[in-house]
Amino acid sequence: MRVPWSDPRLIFPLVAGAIALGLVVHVKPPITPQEPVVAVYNYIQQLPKGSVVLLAVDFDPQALAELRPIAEAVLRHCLRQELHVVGMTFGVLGAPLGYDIFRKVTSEPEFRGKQVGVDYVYLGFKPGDMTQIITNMGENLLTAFPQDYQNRPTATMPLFQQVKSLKDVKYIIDLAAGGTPDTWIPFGSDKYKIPLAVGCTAVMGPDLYVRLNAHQINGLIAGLRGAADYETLLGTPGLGIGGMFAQSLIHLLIVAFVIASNVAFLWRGRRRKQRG
Amino acid sequence: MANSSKTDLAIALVCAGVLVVANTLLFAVGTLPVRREGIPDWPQTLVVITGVVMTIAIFSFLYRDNPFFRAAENLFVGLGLGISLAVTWYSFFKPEVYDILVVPAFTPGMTVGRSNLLLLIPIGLGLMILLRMSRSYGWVSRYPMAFLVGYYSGFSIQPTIHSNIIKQMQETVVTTPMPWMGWAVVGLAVVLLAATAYFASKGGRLSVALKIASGALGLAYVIARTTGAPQGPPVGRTEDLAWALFATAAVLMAAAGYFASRGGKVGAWLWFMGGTAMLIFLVNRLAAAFARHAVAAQVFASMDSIIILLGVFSVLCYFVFSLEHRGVVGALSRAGIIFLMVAFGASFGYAVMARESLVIGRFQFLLGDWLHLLQ
Repeated sequence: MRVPWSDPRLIFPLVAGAIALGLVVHVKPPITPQEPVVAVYNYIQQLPKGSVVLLAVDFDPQALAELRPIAEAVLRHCLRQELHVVGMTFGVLGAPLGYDIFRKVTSEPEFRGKQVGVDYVYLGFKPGDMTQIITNMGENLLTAFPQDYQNRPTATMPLFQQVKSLKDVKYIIDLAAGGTPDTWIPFGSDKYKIPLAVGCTAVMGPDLYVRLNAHQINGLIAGLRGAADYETLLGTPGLGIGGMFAQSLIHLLIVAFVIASNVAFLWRGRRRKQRG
Repeated sequence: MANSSKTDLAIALVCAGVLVVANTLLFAVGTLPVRREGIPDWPQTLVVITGVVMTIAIFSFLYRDNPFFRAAENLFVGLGLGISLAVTWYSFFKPEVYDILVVPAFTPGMTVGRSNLLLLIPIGLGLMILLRMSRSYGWVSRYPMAFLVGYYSGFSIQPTIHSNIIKQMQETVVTTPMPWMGWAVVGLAVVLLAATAYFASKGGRLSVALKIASGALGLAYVIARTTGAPQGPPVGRTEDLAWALFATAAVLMAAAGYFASRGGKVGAWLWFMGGTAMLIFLVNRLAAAFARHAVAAQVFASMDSIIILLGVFSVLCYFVFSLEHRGVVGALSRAGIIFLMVAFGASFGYAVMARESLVIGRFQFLLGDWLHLLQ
């Protein structure tokens, strides 16, 4: 028998109300960053200035809500540490998203002095098989990406005087909404001995712990919670921390519904028993 | 049916009206148009308004399937395909094929570079794949496909096996050395679980006490494992939560004392809830103290290795169907089911969080980018 509050006409508005309340009311819930997120933060923190970090923006609009906050936080951290960031994507729909993220972060007052082709570059999308492109990047980044996303020749960029191939990259961070880490690990990280971290959707998180335990990736930032963890470590609140109170409220709502439904179930069972 | 259609139309008209009024108000109060460095950004304004309309159209599916939802859905698919074509053309095909092969070939005074002529081979192979659509010449597409399959098999098999099988097996079998404190914890757990299993069939208070002790030990390990890990800047307020739990337990127990004098079941229930909260608080404090111990990290690493090894072995046992699941194999396969359930539970929890994040993302857009209600 259904309980009265299982009606979607009640549940949906309540969830919507909880989210709206959680976003509008500025409450920052206690956030203790998880170990895999701290590992990424610490690794970037100890990289020498000027090291090249490859940021693979391998997601599309469906995963924007989860991966955009991670991408922004990681990019901010890299630029703050004066690392050089090379962005790229294997997702065709991710190409404009990655460009938008780079444009937004680099236009913040803190990073106004950063120059395209010197401190960072966004290479955009390259069609084809991932294994082949990664291998091509391992041989020569300039032949893999002769132009950046805005069709500027990469050969003349000062950044590419320092980094000729994937072997010159000190850290790869794959922001993934699909199976790209499974290709980055054997063909990028293992082959060229480059540490790899993954930022991913929450759905992918549990599957990637296997890679984490096998030390195939050295850190993991999963979902909006991962983004909130990273923003906490960075001390720069963004969309991740902004969404945490709303997420907590939805969790409380779900727990309340589960408890209420179970109580109703037990109570009805007891009444049925009493009636015989 | 006719009434239902009329209701749907009325709802759609009301939504459209609300959107028009809301946008007009936003323009009137100056929230719209979107401004970039003080200058109105009309293309971005159009993007925001279109995004709002599309978001509401997609959310309308919560009411029921309707033409607005289907229009938004089809528009998304079509736009995705269009953007894919445009991005592929501008970021790859134009600079790497058209500009260096087609433009010089048809521009007077320009010649195609010799090395660039090699591009004709992959272009030819690609065109051969397109012949798949022809009934008469479909067989031609098998040649490039055979080439592709052969090339990728040879290229991918070794790294994939190394990464997905050998490396995983290595890390599962090779365990971290266990310090004496870890062995003490493992020994205690084994004794407790064995005693719990033995006395479970006999019932009685000892059985209940052992079950509670086993649960408390498991909870303590989980708490210690999750609170003792991060080595970053000091953040978080888990201590506050523990003390909030203590305060709750104290209030519940005080209330239990008050209601106990009046008789009835309320006092007993309050005692139970207060006692549980106090037990969790004590376990939390003990676990936190252990987590701060110097050897804690090593113990956690060793325990993780043991749990993973046990999990893999027991789950494999569950999937061995050529042996009857009785005796040791039966016990191991039952443990395997527990490991599988824990894994499915974790995946489901993460999946729920992911879906929540998507809704939160849309609300951040509606309340932030459109209504400017978020800071």
